[in-house]
Amino acid sequence: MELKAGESILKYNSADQTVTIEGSMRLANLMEYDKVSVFLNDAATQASDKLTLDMTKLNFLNSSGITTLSMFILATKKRQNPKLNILGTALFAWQEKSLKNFNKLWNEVEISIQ
Amino acid sequence: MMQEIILGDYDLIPDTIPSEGELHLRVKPIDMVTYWRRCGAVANFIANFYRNPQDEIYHLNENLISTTFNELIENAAKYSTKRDSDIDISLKLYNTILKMEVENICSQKHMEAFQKSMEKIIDSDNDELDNFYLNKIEAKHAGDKDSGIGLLMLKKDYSLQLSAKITPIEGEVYRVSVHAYYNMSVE
Repeated sequence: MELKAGESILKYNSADQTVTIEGSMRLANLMEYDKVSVFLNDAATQASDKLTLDMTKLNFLNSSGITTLSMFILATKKRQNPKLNILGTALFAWQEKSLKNFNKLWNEVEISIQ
Repeated sequence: MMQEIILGDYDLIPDTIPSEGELHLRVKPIDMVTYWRRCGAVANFIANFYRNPQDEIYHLNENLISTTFNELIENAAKYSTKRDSDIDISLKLYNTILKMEVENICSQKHMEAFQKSMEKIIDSDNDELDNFYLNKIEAKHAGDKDSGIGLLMLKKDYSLQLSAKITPIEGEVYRVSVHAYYNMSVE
């Protein structure tokens, strides 16, 4: 399963239950991010118990994108399934600065910054 | 006519102090909203302009500078009242401090929403900003499609010092100027 969103690409690998997001995701507003929300929720439905979001190759994410991911985390928290694991990198400041917010939305979200 | 409004420490480094380097750009909102990727392209260009990996005094965090300008430019593009008005963008360097500025023209409705949000962001400490963020996300989860979290994120996550000036121009049209100060020596 694959989705192109602006200058970014999302891929879901069912074998390791991982969504990788690469490139620069800076869509104009929440409405444009709807397709990203649908993709993430589809991946969460397909994953059995744990879903990994690998963002180590995501250079940029704007505030509308952070809001979209935050809403996905709240929706997953509500269902209590699957558990979420987020992989990030300290190479990109936005990840070092903002990924920690996701843990404040749901304290069971695991965040690993490489 | 409404008087000029200052939010936060707007003249932390006044324009009368000569900078050690400056970059000024002017773009049109119509260009930004027609091809949205241009907001990011301009932000990336500015962040790359002062890049110098060999510099021993400071290491400019390109990702942080690009993210900051992208948020400020996206807001200016979204809320500019006339598509043929100007968005003025500048970056000034003072030793280890970067002064980032974006100006645009907006309507009274957007000016009032901006003022309310900016006052809350400037007056809040980190715990209050965390709650502000959580409340905004909860509200959006419940269907609210309104104001974003860009400025909130710049203060809360990036510890940037934010300030703004609102100047009435004519009728119900206002110039909004946002300053974001980034101290590279704190990184």
